[in-house]
Amino acid sequence: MAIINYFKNIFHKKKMDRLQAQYERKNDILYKRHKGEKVLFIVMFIVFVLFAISFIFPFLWILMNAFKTKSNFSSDFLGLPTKWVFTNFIEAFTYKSASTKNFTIFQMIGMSCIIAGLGTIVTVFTSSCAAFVVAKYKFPGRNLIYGVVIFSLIVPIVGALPSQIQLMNNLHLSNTVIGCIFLYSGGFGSNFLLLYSSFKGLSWTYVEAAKIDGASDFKIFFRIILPLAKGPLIAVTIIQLIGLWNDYLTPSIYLPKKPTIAVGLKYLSDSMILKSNYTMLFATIIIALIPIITIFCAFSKTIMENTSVGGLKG
Amino acid sequence: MEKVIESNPPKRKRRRFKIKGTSIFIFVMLFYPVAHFLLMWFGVNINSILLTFQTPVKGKLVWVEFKELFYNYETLFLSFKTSTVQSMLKASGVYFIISCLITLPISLFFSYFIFKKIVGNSFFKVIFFLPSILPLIILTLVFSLSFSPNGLMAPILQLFGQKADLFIGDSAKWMVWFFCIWAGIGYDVILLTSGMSRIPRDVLESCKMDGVPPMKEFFKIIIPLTWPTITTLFIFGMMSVFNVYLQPMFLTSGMYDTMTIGLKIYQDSGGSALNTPATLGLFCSLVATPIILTTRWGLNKIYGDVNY
Repeated sequence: MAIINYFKNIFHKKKMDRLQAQYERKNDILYKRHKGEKVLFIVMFIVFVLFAISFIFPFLWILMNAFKTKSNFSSDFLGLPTKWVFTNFIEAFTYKSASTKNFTIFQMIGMSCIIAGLGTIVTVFTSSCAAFVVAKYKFPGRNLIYGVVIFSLIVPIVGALPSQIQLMNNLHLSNTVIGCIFLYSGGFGSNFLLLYSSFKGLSWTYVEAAKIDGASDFKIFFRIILPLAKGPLIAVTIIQLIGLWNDYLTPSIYLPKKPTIAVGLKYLSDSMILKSNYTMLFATIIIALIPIITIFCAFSKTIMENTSVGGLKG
Repeated sequence: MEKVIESNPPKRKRRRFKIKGTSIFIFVMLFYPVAHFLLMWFGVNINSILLTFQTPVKGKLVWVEFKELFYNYETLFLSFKTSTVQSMLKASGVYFIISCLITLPISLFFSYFIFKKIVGNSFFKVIFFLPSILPLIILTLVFSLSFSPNGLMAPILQLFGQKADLFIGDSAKWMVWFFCIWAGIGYDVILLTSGMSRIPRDVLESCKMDGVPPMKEFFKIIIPLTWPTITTLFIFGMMSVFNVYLQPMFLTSGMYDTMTIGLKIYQDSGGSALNTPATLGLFCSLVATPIILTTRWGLNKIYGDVNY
């Protein structure tokens, strides 16, 4: 009962917020439009609807065909399934072959959880350490570090990959999970800039009070700064998690035998297309979509409000 | 007097300790990020340069002889005369047009309407977000399956007399370009809308009160005030000439004139002759850096710094 009430309250609050937004929009001078403007907005609305259809329909088509039998799909690839079957999903969960490195989609999702999860934790931690110190402490070389980081982000480096591969081989980090996480663990990427600007804006009053009480710098960082910067840290974590979850380059080169879902999906699709097993491929795509769509639905507000240039990779 | 003398030494001690503690803190916090950066940025890039002076002998890279110091560069320049490399350079160059001259202007126009809260803007924003949150492999799969002869688009394509697989032959490159625009618009719109959302409300209100028409507002107010984001996306677009590799790899495996510089470097990096992709990469960096930095400088000059 308490759970039902909880959800009822949430939906009620959302409805009220929506009504409030609608009312504000209706009476807002910014959104009052003349006749000519209205026509332009209607035309653009139609364009946007067509664009939205171009994104939604292919996914709906894939979803619908995932419930068809092979013969049903080959005889009618556009209509609704004559009989809705779940066998494609069951088979997709257990499908593995030599070309998928004997990994099932479930194991691939597990690998993604480990690599993207650990990679995100490590990189957000190192970025916040570096960003906090550079933003808030005065020490020799501070401006040099900031300048070099900005320079490294501006200068277009093409083809550092061969050299990186050689270095990783020499460090014996290729084909290891640690190697992948090590590559992700840099503290001076775009996360650094995002966290640098949020740490820069943090009030120093709490820190001064803590210093007077005798707290060490480490204690201040872990007990005061990190909780204070919780908002930006969560945003950076989620955006980074999505970025690493979708990353193809690093795991495809440094962990080809233990594929993550982004890499494994390529193996799975190649293998299924070769066997002309399209219905199973559709089910596989739908399964692969579930984790990322869940994350997006759960944190859509955080993701959409915190996306800025360099913050989210496509 | 005695009391003062007694109280001085401990004070100094405490001060020294504090400085030491903070120094240790700064050192510990920066040690790993700086070490990682030195190794993975400076180390890797210096090694890239060194690789261009090496050559594979029996599967191992060894230094080239001094009299043939620029052997790899000479080989690279010679390869520019071959038709495959020329086609690759052309195919890569097209991404400047696609990213900077097609996708970016369309996205800018679309973003304006999202920013002006067109009916259903929240829903459209989610749609525009899809390319940013979905793995590229899923997007390319959905796209290629939809356009396959047994795909969603087959009946429409048949109306135009198109029955063959569009990802084979001359049409393949057009499909890759079309995909890049289709998926790229969403990415650009999100970043541009986020840039536009920072424009102060009073500026827009005064525009409205003065009766400025939408297109005038778009060109005279929105574009200048979103210029830093536009500049960054333009630079990203220029970089795509060298960076695009996944789209042609997933859609056409780099065949049918869709091979790009980025894909060539990615594929060649899988072999033992790392000197070849390293030389191509370094040459591209040397060409790209001045062009891109000059463009950035020039674009920044157009509207100057935007402060609000």
